[in-house]
Amino acid sequence: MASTTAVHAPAIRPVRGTRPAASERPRLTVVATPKTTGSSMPFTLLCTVIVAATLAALLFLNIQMSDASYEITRLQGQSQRLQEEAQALSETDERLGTPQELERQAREIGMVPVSDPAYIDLDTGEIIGETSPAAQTEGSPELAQVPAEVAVPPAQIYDEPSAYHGMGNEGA
Amino acid sequence: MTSSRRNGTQRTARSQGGSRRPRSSGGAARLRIPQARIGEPATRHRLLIALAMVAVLALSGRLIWVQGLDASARAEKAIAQRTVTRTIPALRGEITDRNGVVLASSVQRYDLWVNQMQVVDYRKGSKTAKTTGVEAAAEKLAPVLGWSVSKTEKALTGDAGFSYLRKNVEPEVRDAVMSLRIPGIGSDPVADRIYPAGSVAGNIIGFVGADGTALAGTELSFDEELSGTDGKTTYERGAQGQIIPTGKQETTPAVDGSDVVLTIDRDLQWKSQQIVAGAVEKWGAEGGSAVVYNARTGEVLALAEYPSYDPNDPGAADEEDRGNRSISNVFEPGSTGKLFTMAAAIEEGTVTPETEYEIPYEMYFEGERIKDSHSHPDQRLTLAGVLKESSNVGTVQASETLTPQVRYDYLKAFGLGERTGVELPGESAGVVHPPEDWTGRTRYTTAFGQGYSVNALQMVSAVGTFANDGVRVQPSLIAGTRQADGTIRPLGEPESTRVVSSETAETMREMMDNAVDDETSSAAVTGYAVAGKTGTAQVSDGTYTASFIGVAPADDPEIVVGVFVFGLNSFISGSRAAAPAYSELTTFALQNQGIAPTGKPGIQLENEW
Repeated sequence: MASTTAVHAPAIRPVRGTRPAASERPRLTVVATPKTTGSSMPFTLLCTVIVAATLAALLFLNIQMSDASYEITRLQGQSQRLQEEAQALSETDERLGTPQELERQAREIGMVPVSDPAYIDLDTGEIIGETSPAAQTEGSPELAQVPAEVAVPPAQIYDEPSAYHGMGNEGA
Repeated sequence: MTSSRRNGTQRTARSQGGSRRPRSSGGAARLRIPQARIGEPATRHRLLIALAMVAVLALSGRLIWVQGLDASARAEKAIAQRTVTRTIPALRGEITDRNGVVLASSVQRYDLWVNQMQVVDYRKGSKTAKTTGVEAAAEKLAPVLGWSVSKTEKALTGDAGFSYLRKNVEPEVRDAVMSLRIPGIGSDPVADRIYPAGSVAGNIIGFVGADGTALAGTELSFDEELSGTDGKTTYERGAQGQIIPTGKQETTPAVDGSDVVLTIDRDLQWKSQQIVAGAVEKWGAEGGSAVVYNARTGEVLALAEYPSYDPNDPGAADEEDRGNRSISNVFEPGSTGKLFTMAAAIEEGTVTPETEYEIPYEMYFEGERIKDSHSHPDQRLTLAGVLKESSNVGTVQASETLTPQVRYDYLKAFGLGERTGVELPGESAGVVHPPEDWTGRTRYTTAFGQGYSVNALQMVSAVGTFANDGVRVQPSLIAGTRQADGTIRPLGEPESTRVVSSETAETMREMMDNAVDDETSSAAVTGYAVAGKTGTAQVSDGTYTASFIGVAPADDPEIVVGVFVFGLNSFISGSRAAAPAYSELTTFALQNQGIAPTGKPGIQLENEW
């Protein structure tokens, strides 16, 4: 069939123009095999490698970025937890440092308010004022002895319900 | 014709290849020849190309439409779907005392809520669980919330899609609750305001409402400084809530509120409140105030009230206990007012501490009967003696050396009947009527502190004038706002007014020192010479106000302390109701401020002649 096609083609082409009949030309010519300038394989490979490398790099960068993003989320959570812990500790510190709590604890271990302090002048070494061993004084009789919890009660926020049995997450 | 001929030729050419069609078709057959479509590859090509072009055109048109013309709207829609904006709440600033001790701070809390319809799913698929649903959830949740199981169960049962389980829980409670993974239970972060020291300085600090709105005290008057500006962050969010790194991110950081630093010393404030409570309870009074004031700087070191309230739970207290009686309660000062009459007369040079007076129990001035507080035989007192004995008759005699206008000007100069300008809401200025209105008795009663009204802080500040060499400094409760670098930015220099000369101020201190016996007075402070004056006056509702205002140490004044007891049912002198509290409070304040005794005994002046 190849020969048939070969016959057909020249038969048609010349008809299109107003040229003389195709019979004037040689029907077939032997042409040299087109010279190949070596294999195209290396170039294709190079292109493939470049594309693959680009894609891989892009993928890697994307993975890195989303990893970093997850890491940020994790660290933000951790930072939040630590902040809350710090807050809880400072709240405890503030509660223990209130005058009401300090007085209560000081009295519990037997301390009394100083009634007659003495001072030392550091320049002269002189002792200013007279002092005496602390005594368990009852305070001025001219003032009513108002219990500390009544006169200046501790902050309401520290009255936690007594039925509070731990955090509930131990052994869970 | 051309075409037909060409067709004819074509046919001829084709026939060489052997056409299936019969050659002898006749005329009719010849006419049908153009229908031989097989002979049109060029047209077919063009058609195909045209079709492809149309398709390409359509696609590129669509591309341009989508990418170019319609792009922004679509892209916006897509971005809007994955973009979230979160508010970064600004933290309200702290209120601290003069030493930086926290009196009010904002903390993170959580509101726990429940979707009751989802709780039934708890442990539904579990084979090991004995109980499921609400019952199991309640058993787990009850110990964490500190509730009974039945109460918890009740809170979890129902068909509410959203109801608060418990508000304002601490982060650790919230974490424990969330770790139970009970379906339908969630939490929202909220900021809460706590006052660690409770009622200590509660009246000064004020409080905020449940939604964080400032409602009273410093919280209200310094709301602008305390509340910061909320920030916000906008980012594109992935399915797990993580930030899409290539997406657009925009963050406006929150500007936290500034810390406000008070001039109050927390320990001194606490002690003052305790002492005032003792004085009020001792005499069954309605309430009391105490002011500890640094006359040189105008700083109020303590402003105590009793009864007080806890700003953590302001609703539990009566509204009248939530304010500051020391600035809102106006009263006639009584005998402490004699100080201003005498200071004016000494400054004007019409009298000296040695000026001699004959003092009967009662005396008539232009028909007005003026008498002393207690009956006594005729006395021969110097001006210093008049102050020590607190004689009304003697004071009026001294005041008559001045015109009412001069006395009025001095009262105003001492800041009476004027707002002190202290940074708290709710101050009542009191009233000093102009001298034209000093008709009848008023002309004389104003000499001994009746017929005009003041508030407690005004009085302490006015007496502070004598402690600060005759210059009155505007009292202040706010040291300033704390900057990011930790330094305190003061609000500005307090206003100061010279009222009397330095010499007059010293004379007044000596007379006040003379009025307080180091050994016998109930106002005496061991180891220190103090200068002070008692006062008692009747209020229009029939009760009495007793007060004591004193300066210590008398020879080198550092602090002025005033104790006021309001609403006494009967006449109880300031020396009984207020002076003991003054003594206690000054003893503590001197220790607290580290003021050493000067070692000089109190001054004794000639009281009689």
